[in-house]
Parts: sequence; structure tokens; C-alpha cells
Amino acid sequence: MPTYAYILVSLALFFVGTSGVLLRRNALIVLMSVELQLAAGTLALLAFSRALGDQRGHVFAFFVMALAAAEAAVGLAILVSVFRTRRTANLDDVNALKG
Amino acid sequence: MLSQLRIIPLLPLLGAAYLILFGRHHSRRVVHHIACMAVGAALVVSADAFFFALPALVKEGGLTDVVGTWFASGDLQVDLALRMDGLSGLMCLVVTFVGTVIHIYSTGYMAHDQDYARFFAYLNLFCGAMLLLVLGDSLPVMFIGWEGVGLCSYLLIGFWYGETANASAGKKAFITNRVGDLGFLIGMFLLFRAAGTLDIPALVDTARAGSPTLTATLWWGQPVAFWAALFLFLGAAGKSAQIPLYVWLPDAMAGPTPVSALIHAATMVTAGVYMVARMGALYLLAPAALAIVAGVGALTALFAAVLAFGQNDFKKVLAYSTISQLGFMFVGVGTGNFAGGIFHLFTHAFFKAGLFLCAGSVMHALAGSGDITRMGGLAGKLPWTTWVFRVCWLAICGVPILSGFFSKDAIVAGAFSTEVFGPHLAWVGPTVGAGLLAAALGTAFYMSRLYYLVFTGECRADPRAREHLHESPVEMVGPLVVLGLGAVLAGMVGVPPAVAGSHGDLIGHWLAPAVGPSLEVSSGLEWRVMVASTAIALAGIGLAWLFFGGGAREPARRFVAALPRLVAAVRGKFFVDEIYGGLVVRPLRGLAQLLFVVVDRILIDRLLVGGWTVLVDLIGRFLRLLQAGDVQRYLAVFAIGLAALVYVMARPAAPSEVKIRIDGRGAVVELGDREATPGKLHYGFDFDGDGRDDRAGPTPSATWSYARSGHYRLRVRITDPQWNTARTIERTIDIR
Repeated sequence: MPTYAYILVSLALFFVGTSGVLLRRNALIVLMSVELQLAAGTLALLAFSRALGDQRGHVFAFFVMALAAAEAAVGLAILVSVFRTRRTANLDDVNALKG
Repeated sequence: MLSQLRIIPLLPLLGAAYLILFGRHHSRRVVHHIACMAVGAALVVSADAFFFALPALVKEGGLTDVVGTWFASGDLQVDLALRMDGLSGLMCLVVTFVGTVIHIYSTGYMAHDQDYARFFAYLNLFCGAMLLLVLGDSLPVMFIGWEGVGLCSYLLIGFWYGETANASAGKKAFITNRVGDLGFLIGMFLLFRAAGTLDIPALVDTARAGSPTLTATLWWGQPVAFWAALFLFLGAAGKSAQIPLYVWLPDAMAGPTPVSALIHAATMVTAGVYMVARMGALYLLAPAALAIVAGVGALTALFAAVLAFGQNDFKKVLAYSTISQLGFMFVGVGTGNFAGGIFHLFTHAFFKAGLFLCAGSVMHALAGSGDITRMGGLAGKLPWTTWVFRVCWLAICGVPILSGFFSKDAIVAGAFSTEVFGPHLAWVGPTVGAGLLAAALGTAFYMSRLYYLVFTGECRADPRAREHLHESPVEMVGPLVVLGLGAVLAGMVGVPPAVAGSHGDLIGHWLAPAVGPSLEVSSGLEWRVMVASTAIALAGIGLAWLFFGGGAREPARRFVAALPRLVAAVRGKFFVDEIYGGLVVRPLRGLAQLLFVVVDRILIDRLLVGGWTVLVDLIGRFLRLLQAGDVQRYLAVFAIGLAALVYVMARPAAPSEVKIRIDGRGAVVELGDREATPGKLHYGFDFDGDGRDDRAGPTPSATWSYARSGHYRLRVRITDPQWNTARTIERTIDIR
């Protein structure tokens, strides 16, 4: 398959992830959407890596997976903490830091 | 050393500087020694210059001392120059002599004052400024002294600033003088514009030559000389307390009595007379200005003498007397009788300073009270003071052989025989002369009233003050006696030739090189005036004795009862202060209030200061809407921003170099672009600036041949068809 096909899938995945981050109100779903964005990035890295015959893309893919795992752990911990104090996971209600 | 005139004003100025800086660390003894030495040394130096160096040079314009150029600007060059000629030398001597005497007197009078050092610092500063005024050889230098003495006058009137009345009296003096000083400045400007110089000798020479620069018509058919003289006289009227600017002097009596004697009787207030005499040649060019000077002088002399009738404060009577006597002096200089005016200035310095110091001595004895209705019968208690007062009183009344007799006579006789006014204004001389005779009667009357109420009859002071009565200490009585002797003897320098023959009128001969020869007065007129003024003086004294001898008597009471309105008007000083208050002070205050409210409160505070806070507040209110605390909204903005950034950065990179070669009519453009992939970008070249591409294609270079020489705008448009982005480069080229 040509490279652009992978890139199109990556773009679609990133668009779906970005839409979820921007539009969904449930913090858990938002975190999941962030995972989608990261997966899209990983896919693009792997596609270019294969197309260019450069192994650095693969290495970065592993970095992104490690980062995604850490992000999920920290994000979920914050989410649990927020839910315990506020009894909600709705992002519209978590706006204490406003001007 | 004697040419170093700068030493004379410098000594008291240094004394003042030292006392201001370090005076408070010294004991009273040290303070008054420094102050008296500074003025005393100035007296010695001026006497040395006056008696030994000056006589040989008086006909050649006297001694000069140019310290250096003060400032130069365009045609104007002002030297810091001092000159001692007959006139300024005499003034210098008067100032330092009376100054020294009064410094010594002050050591007794102010002995118990808390601000001893400050007092002597100001007094020294005054002497320095006055000497600068007197010795200054150009109008700006004179003006420095003029302002300096005004400042010292202000500082010393308000010396006891703890009382509001004293502080406002100081302000009144200062502000009234500002009006006059404006006149002085305008006069200076007019003279500079006409004559191109401000040096007094140069101006006097120009005026004596009758130069057309000064006789040319300026406004309303009057020559430059008239207007300059008139404006200078406005300055003189302020400083010398003449109508209409006399109102500050009576209030100035709020200052300590030695100050009244030195500044507000003997020296500073005579500065106006001195200045008119100094610029005499200018005034002689404008008879109308002279007539105004003489008229104002006579009117003031008469008016102030009348006002003195109604005053019950020792020093206020003397203040009106000073105003009146200054009027005499202005009649002297205003009738072209400059020597006469200066002669009266000279004698007045002695007897008026003496009178003021007597007042100080009396008030000292009565613990500060100056109300003459609460005095009386002091002759026995204060023998020295009484004798000096008697001498000075008779001198000011014009009793023969005392100093005031000769000097007043010189002015009155001069007024009757002057010819400076020309045919049209010839009536001015005799008119002001008659006015002065009336003023002399008034003088004799109010001065005698003062004497009788204070020194004769029963003592009306309250019993406690009566027990306290004592003659003043020797450092006060000594100066009194010296001034009393001066009041007797000062007239000897100006005995009229009708009496003393060729030995007469020494002062006139002495001053002639500086102010022109004395007026010719016929012997017969001289004798008639002398007899008349003696009779007037005796009449005034006798009349006052009838009214007030031994305390207020029956005729005085009957007079007050018969004319209550007149008496109230005189006691109310004809309500001039109230009129000025209504015409000048209140409108100005209203204007100030208006400006305060409209400009300060509304415009500045509300609109400018308050407006900015409102603006910042509004911006803040708007900006806080952006910070909603909603992470998703931030992310949306972030995404939009990122997209915009990507679009901008996706533009073709700027070429690393643009080479334009011009060869005759031909032009070659080459874009060096290392980054760009060959064949990816599209280049459009517009060589002649018509907006259309003349060459286009994937190659980053093009050539063009111009048909005509000229100035062209060259435009290269680089487009990236893949992303549909573009960048434009513009250059201008000249084709010859």
C-alpha cells in the first residue's frame, strides 16, 4: 500500500481524536480521545519510517507508546481525584481556574 | 583692591550663606559678630572706596568692576558689572552705614528671639542684595538685586510666620511687588528693543544724546522713552510703595522693627527713587513721564499723610509717613531735580530709621505693644529714646537747620522752579509744589500727634506694663544716638547756595556727573520757600498740640464728633484694601476656583486620571472573558492558532539572496534558493511594475530588456502550487 493511504488513516484518526478532545464533555472520553491522537501520531511515524527506510521512526513509536501509558496513568489519577472531590467527571463543571 | 567693588556685596552675601548653613550651631554672640562684621566690613570697604578712590574718578564715571560676562545671547550681552559713581557710592554708603547700625541695634532688639541666626542671615542677605541693586551697572544686574531685596523683604515681614497675619502680610508685599516688577521687566524689554543694550551708562549716554531710537513714536503718539520710563516707574512704584501699589507697606510693619527701619524705611523702599534718578536722562526725554512721576509722588505724599492721621499703631503711622516721604522723593526726581530727590532719600534714611528704632525701643519697653492710645508720658521713662525721637520728629517736620528741613526744601523749591516739563505741562511743577506744602503740613501734624500721644501727658499703659517700663540696653540706644546725630547733621551736605553761598549744595555738585547738574533756584524763591515751609511746620506742630498736646484733648474729640464719616473713612484707610480686594483679589480667587474645579478636578482628575482607570478596567473585563477556566475552549483556540501558524509557515521560504544585475538597458534577476526543491516552485517576474508577470516559470531567474530608461518597480512572486501559498519580493531599480 502506498504511504499516503497510511497517512490518510492517520489523519482521519487524528481528526476523530481531536474532535473528541474538543467536543466531548466527559473527562474519561476526552482522555480516550487523546489516546486516539497519540495513536494517529504513532501511525504517521511508522508509515514515514517505512517509506524512508529509516529506523528512527520505529524508535519514536515506542517512545510515544510509553508516553501514552504514562499520560493515561496520570490523567486517570487526576480524574479519580477530581471525581472524589467534586462527584462529577463533566469538564464543564471543572472550571475553577477562571478569570 | 579698591577696584574690586565685588567685595562690597560679597561680604554680606557670604555672611548670609554662612549663617544660613551653620548659624544654628553657633551661640548668639558668634552669630551677631559674624553678621555685624560682614556688614561692617562692607561699610569699611565702601567708605574706603568712596572717600579715597572715588573723588578722583567721580567725573569720569567712577569705579567699575567687571566680574565677567553673565550671559550673552544674540545681540544681548550682559556683564556682571558693578559701578560706583557719585550716586551709587552715596547709596552704598547709606546702605552699609544704616545697615551696620541696625544690625547692632538688632542684637539688642532680637536678643530673646528663638530664630536669632535666621534673622541675621536674612538681614545680611538683604544688605548683599541691596548693594548689588545699588552697584549693578546694567539693568539685569540691578534687577537681581531688586528681586533679592524683594525676597528678603518677604522673608523678614513674615519672619514670625507662626501668626497667619504676618505670613499673609509677607505674601501681600511680595505679590504687590510682582505687579511692579512686571513693569520693570517690560521697561527693560522696551529699552533693549530700542537701544540694543541694557548697560546703564550706555542707555544714559543714548538718552543724553537724544538718540532717535528713544524719541521715535511707539504707541499713542508717545515716544519709546515715555513708555520705557512709565513701565520702569511702575516697578519703582511697587518697590517704593507709591499709588497705586502702596498697600503692602503698612502691612509690612508685621515684621520685626529693625526690619521696618532698614528695609521698609531707609533702604529698599528708596530703590525706586534711586532707579528713576539712575535712569534720569531717559525720563528727561519724556516730560509726560516725568509729570506722571511727579504727580503720583505728590498725590501719594498727600494721600498717605492724610491716612497717617487715623492710625493708632506706632509703626503704621511711621509706615504711612514713609509712603508720604517717598512721594516727596518722587516729586524730586519727577521734577528733574534728581539731586534733590536723592538728598531727601539720604536724610530720610537717617531720621526715618531713627524714628523706627525709637518705635522699637518704645515697644521693647512696653513688651511689644504698638498701640499709641495705650501709651503717653513716656518722656521721663525713656530719656534717650525720647531725645532721639524729638530730634527725628523735628527733622521730618522740617524745622530749620535739621536735615529734613533742607532736603524737603530742595524738593519744594525745585518743584516751583523746574523747567523740565516744557510749555504745555508747565503747570505741573507749581501744582505738585503746592501739593507738597500741604503734605508737609500733614506731616508735621501727624508726626506731632504721634509725639504728643506717646511721650507727653499721662501714661495710659496698663499698670503691669507701667512697672516694666525701662530704657533699652546700650546696644539699642547707641544706634539711636548715631541716627539721631545723622538726622541733625545729614542736611549739612545740601544747604542751599542761597544760604551757604559757594559752600552750599555739596551733594548736588557731587551727584552732578551721575545725574546732571542741580536745578537753578533763584535766591528769592529759595528764601520764600524756606520761610513758608518753616511756618507750615510750626503750624502743623501747633495744631497737633491744640488737638493732642498731653493726650487727646477737647478739640480732637469735638472734631471726631463733628465729622464722624470723614474720620471713619480716614481710619478705614479710604477702604482701598477693600476696593482692591473686590476688584482684583476676589475675581482672581474666583478664577482660580473655577480653574481648580474645571481643569483640575474635572479635566485632570476625572477625565485623564480617572479615564485611564476606566479604560484599563474595561480591557480587563473583556480579557477575563477569554480566561473561562474551560480547558476545551483553550484547546480550540490553540488548534485554530496552530492551523494559522502552519499556513504562514507553509509559505515558500524567502530566497537566501536576490541578485539583480543591470547591464545598459538589460536586467538579470537571479534568486539564490538553497532550500527550495528545484522545479517545485513557480516564479513570476514583473519587471516594469504594471502588475502583470512579464516572465514566469519554474526557473528562479529571468532577464528583461527595458525600452526606456527610468525608475522601475521590480516584483517577483514565488508561488507554491501544492499548498497554494505565495511570497512577494519587491525592489526598485534605476535604468539609465
